[in-house]
Amino acid sequence: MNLEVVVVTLIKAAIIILGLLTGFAYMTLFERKVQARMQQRPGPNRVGPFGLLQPLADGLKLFFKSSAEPAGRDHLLYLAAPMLSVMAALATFAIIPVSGPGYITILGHNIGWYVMNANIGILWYFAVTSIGVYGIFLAGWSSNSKYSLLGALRSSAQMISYEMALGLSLVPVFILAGSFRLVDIVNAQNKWWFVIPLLPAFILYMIAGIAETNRAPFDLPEAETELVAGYHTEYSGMRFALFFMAEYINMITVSSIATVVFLGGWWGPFGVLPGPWWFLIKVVVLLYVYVWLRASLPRMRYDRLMQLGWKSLLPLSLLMMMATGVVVVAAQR
Amino acid sequence: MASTVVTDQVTLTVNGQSVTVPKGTLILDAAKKIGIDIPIFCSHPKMAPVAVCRMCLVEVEKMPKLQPACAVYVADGMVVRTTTEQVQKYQKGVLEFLLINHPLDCPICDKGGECPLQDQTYQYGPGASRFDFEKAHFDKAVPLSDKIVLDRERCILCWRCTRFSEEISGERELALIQRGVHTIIGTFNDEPAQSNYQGNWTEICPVGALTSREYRFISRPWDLDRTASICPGCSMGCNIQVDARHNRIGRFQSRENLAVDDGWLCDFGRYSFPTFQRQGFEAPRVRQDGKLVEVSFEEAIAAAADGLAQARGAVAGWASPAATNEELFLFQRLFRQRLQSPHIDHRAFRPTWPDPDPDDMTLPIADLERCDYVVVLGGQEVIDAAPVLHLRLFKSERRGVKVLKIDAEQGARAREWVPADAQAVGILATVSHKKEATDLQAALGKKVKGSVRRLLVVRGPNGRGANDLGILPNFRPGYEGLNGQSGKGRAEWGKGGIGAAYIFEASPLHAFEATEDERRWLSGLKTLVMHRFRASPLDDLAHVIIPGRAFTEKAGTVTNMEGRVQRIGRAIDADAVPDDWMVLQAIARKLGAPWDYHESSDITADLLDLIPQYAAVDRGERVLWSERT
Amino acid sequence: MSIREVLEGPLYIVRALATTFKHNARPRVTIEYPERQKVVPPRHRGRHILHRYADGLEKCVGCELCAIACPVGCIVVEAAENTPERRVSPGERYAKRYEINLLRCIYCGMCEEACPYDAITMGPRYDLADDHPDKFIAVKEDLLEPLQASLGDTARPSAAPSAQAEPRKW
Repeated sequence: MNLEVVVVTLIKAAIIILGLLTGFAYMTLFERKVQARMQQRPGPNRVGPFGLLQPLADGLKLFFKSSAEPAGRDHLLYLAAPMLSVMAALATFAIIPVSGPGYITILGHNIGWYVMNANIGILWYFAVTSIGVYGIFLAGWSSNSKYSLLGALRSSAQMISYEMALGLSLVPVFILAGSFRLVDIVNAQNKWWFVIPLLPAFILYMIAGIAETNRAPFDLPEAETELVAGYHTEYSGMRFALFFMAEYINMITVSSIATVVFLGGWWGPFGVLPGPWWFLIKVVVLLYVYVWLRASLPRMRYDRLMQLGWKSLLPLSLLMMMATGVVVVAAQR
Repeated sequence: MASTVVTDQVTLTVNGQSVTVPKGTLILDAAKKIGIDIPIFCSHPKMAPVAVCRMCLVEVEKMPKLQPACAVYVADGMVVRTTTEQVQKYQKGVLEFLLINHPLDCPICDKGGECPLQDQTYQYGPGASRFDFEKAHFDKAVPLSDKIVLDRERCILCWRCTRFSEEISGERELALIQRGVHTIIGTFNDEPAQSNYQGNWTEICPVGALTSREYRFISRPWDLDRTASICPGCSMGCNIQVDARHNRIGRFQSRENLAVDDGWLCDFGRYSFPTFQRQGFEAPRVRQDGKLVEVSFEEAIAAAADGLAQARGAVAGWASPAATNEELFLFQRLFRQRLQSPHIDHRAFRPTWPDPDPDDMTLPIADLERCDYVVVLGGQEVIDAAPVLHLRLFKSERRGVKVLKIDAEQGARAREWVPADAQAVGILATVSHKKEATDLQAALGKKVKGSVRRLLVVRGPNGRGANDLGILPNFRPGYEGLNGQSGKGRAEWGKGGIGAAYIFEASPLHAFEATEDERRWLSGLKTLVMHRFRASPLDDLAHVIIPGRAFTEKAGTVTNMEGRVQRIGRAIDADAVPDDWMVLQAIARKLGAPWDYHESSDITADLLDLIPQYAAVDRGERVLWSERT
Repeated sequence: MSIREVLEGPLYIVRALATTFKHNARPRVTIEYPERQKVVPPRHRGRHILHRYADGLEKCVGCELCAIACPVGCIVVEAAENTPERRVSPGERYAKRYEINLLRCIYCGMCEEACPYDAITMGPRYDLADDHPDKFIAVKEDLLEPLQASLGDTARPSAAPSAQAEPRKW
């Protein structure tokens, strides 16, 4: 490993992190605006033109808020939990190729459209999101509050349950693409996006992804209209904002993975736009779906949630995997 | 056969209930005895019945028409009904009639809320009037005097005020003018009324026709905070109710005590309340380099204690006869025990004063009515010193008591006037004519075979208490002598030997009132402490000025001229200013006293230990120093 | 879970999504509040108004019936007497001080019911937010109806002492 790789990687990581944080900030505004429109409201429109500075105002507010801390907390873990969540959320994005194929050349260096083109690819994604569960669970446990602990248990159970379906729903893609490397997967969609042959897998993936990110209609861990808050009950100010941040970055990541894996990544149908734009458009459309669902569907009951995860999504994704395998083997014959 | 016992009791039936009352009782009072309320306007328990308002009409069996309950005397076997349909119809009719011309300006009327006409219209009256044409109009807001405003539209012609000025005060100032629907109340020739009892008109008026100028639009009755207290005007000790709003005194109302005031107040006392109105916060001041500088209360008290301690043994103390017993008790203890200066006094300046003694009050005020002959030694002078005495004397006169008002020097005339067979003779005089009064008492005591008693009118609402508690150079509390250790009285202070003075002027009405000579020697003192409620002419001589509380701002007891110990209540909140007794205690503590009183009632308890006679306070009775009558 | 439910479930979800999406096209119901205000019904009970007669004299006589009718005790009235030189209301009596604690007020309208002269009514204003509790003590000048422009010069203005130098925005 030489110095050049280290420096370039660091710069790319910085750009990605900056982009994700901005994305998070404007995702909140986007969500509020879209939802408001669906409820015949204008949404935030006071701070800046069309409310564009609202995220800045919110950020400043959260930044300067005092953080109340519960008595009897495990202080180190209490501090570490939100950081762990954000770190896991940010790290996932390392494997995602924003555009391609090939490189851009800056100052004689060939630079790829990704932070890391690992051959384990998608497995990194599974591994790192699992670490996010620790953030949630430690937050609930270290707060020394029964509400937080129960909320954390609920969230952990949900996330672990849906991780299974999430992973299995992507297996058909690997079978078709023959690689874990995301660049390879995108390149394999040069002609046909995988969403066309693998539509059931895409739907399974999106459902599991929504549940994995604790979003409506699977937002039981927060359930802000019914429960106190869940695992982050005892967090306030910037520390609460970190959990918030992690959730939104996870949304962006799930949408990005879906774009890369099912929707052809940077490939556009007519090739009129450069790759990154296609990528961005697809991600935004998926995020819109996220918000749309939140505006439309009521929250699920907890037992139904577990039932859906274990009894429906898991067998269906296994079925999908087998069906794809059978079809691929039959086609090769 | 059962024999009928002839008694002066009669038994009658009111609404089916049987009641036995003495002969000569009105139906109204008999009904009241068993709790049956008959509405009235013109009737008043202290005045003869006139039955002009017709509100009290009741049904009496075997009488053809309804009878006024306020004017018909009971008879044995009488059957009275007060709630029959006919009575109710008449009550409605009378009220509707009264309201034909009575203006409905209750919202702007001072009586609104405590108005008998309002109350009884609600209770007995019709809901609506059938007279929807223009009401008759008379003059509104006519000044009857500088104290009273008359609204002729509101008057329902009950005659209470005219009867008061005829039967109660005997001044005959108010009269009915014109006849029929044109009848109005007024004074002769529309001259301003001069009576000293006009405030009572407003209290007895059953509507808002007669109202006080001082109370005009000050408050609605329901907003008032009412506190039972004693009038600070003179030593009569009339019971009052201090009505305050927003921590300001609105008015003094009478609170009937048949033994003292008979339910009346004089205008001097009733309208003295602006004197006790606090005008903002006043900081204590201490003279530094010839100038008065504002300081805190702690600093002022320290400066006062320091100055007094330096002149230990030669401090003169003057306490106002308007201070409470508790304050006076601490005052004399401070001087006798802490300052070793028995030079205390509460009296006005005079070269010589006769010593007070408990016999000065052997004649209770209410007993004036039970005397055969009353000599008012000093005439108008006595009435001026205690104006409500006039109403008692006039009442006694109407009941057959002979009253002789003469100048104090004309004792010889009184000696001839009282016949030898008099049963009970009373002598009234002011304290400055004590010698003439005792001389007359001695002379009459030899002449008549009945008892001869005297009552001296002292100065200040607690002038008697100041005597009882020994605010005198030659008496301890309870009129105990000092065995030759007497201090100097006020007349002797100017003759030298005094190094400092403490003047406690609790009431502007009973101030120190320094003479020219006194001002001269006061200005030569090293320390002069002024502890007073209002700015005093002596302020420019003072070295320490400690603002005190007004009569209405403290709780305690005062003793009136006949020795009745009565409580005063704290009507006004003056928390920024320490209570007067607290200042006295603070000074004494600086001088080493171990006093630790937290409430003025703690002092009362100590006072009762020293003078057990003062236990009368709990019964509202007079202090009896001996069994002498 | 029957087969029917499994088959129809996604349909319902799609219909839900369609419903919310259709609302995108509907007009916004929000009123841009501080700039534009809702038109309130005629009997709306907003902030109180003290009325005047046509000649500019105040209707209030300071009778305090509103204060005693008020279930929360948020009204303080002190009366004074009109003099020929300073006539504030037509009768003998006027309100020298009239204060309403708008924070304590529950806008029940009992004062309006109690008023024998129709001097106080509940007005249409409801934008009463401010940034300090002291600013919610509405004094007489705040509550009084403004003089009509035509009466500006001729009518005798209220000479009652004011608790504050300038009347506030409401």
